[in-house]
Amino acid sequence: MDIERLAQQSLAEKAQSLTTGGKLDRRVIAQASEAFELACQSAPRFGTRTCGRWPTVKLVRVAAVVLLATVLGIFFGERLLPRAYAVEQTLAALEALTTVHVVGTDWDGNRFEAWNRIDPATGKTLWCCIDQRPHGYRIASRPDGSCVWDKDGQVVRYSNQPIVSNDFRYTHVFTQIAEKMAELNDHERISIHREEDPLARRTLIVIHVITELQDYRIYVDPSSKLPTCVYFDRADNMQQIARSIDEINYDCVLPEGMFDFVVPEKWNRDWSALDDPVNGLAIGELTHEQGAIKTAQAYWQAVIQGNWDLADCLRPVADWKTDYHRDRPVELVNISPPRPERGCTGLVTPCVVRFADGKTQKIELVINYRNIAGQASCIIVATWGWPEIIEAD
Amino acid sequence: MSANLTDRQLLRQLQRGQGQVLRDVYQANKDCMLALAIALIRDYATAEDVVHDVFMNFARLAPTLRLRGSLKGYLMTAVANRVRSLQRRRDAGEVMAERADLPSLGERFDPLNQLVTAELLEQVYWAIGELAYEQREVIVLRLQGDMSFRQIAQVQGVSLGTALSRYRYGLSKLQQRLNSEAIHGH
Repeated sequence: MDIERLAQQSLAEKAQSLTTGGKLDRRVIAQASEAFELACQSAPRFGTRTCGRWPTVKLVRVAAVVLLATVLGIFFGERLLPRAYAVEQTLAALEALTTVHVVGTDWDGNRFEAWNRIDPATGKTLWCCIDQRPHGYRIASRPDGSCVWDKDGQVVRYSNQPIVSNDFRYTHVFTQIAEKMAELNDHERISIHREEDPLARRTLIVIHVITELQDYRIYVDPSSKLPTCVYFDRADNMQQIARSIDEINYDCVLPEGMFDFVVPEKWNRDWSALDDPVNGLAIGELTHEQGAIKTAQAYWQAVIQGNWDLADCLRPVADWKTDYHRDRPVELVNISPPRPERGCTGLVTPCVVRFADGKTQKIELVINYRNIAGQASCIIVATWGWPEIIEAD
Repeated sequence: MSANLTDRQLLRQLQRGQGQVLRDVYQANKDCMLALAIALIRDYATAEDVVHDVFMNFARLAPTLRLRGSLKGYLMTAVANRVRSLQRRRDAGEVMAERADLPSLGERFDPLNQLVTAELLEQVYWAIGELAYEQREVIVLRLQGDMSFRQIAQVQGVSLGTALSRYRYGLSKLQQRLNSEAIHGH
């Protein structure tokens, strides 16, 4: 019997011989019930009123701004919302920001903090720092590279590749919402309503988005048009750390030295897998665009064929085995031309992939170009935005 | 009564204020939580405290909790995090229990024809306990907690690659230790 199965059987057998005592059970149930009652009394009770809803209807392409403004106008009228709100107003307000600081909760209930600095010339979020103190884990990314501090391992990992997709302005989310407003499919619903925040004595606009893969609410301040908090009720297949963003501060002063790649005393120093020449796909004389397509093709073929070693080389920092273990891609339908995006350091390469359950998803890969010792290569560093279910015609 | 309800239905009932559901959630998960805590920390009394603390915390969060995966997965992750937090406060080795503290696997086997297997499993169980904590944690969370490597990496606050390496190194050390015991034992 191999050691893995032996260990599993050993743990399982021991587990069967263990049980909690009746005394502990009574104590836990009594105290937990009491704590639960107290928590229920202090839990917020917002009065939710749905004011606009588009159920499973495929709408014709209508400008999102007109649609939203019309619906808010009908339901809120002049009394509740003196000015109509449009997602584009939030997008414009987000563009004008210089820094963002958020305090959030991850999916395990742990708090984290993150900071973004936005390049005023390009509007890109080129500086990002995430601090997950309970995990002893900190990431800093700047235009010339990124750095991960692993406190438990006492190691600092450098990369020449900046980390993308950590824009806590959620600009890409609002862009997607604006696009979805124009064309909803049978799996999607967007409702706009307002909630009273009794503590702050103000009214917030709530955008509630439900798709087959996601369910999230964004609270927007009607005067500044900026998000005040974000809650993800469901986020399948999304590779994001936040369950909620509980506090957001804009245009604040960032702590000094937070983007400095400093190695603490007695810590080890290592390089990220993204800089390992063994990883990625050599592209010879191809351009970045051609290399991105070739890399995306090779990656999906590897995943479809179950060639995990190759897939790992092409996309070394993702848990693709977990992502695609249950829901296995079976066909690469097409790859669209790669494009640059604001706030993204690589090329965004849209891939349409069919899964074993028959569903087809659009997944956009971020593919970076590298030149290591004169050898040109491409490597997949992240996904861009969230996967989308593609409707069959 | 609530055995047929899904985790989300159970949580919804809790969020409607139905506190009696807590008992069902506790009964359904307490032994798994205890086994995981013991496998990680090897101390029965501390493991019971972990179960107590984790469930109390769950009760406090339940009215507003938003579940991503399964309830069991959430509780198992919480146990791992709690043990990890305790572990940080202690010197290595301080929490290891004596073998006599825990029931032996041999007690559950037919002593005549299963003695060798039981003895081997017992050896493996204790050998897991002698691994470095980070390696032990990955192995226990993977093989007993049924967690994905990505979840484990999040619990440990390390990259996926590091979690996978710890798993491989841990199993390799386990194999070496058993081989060594087999050689010395014969």
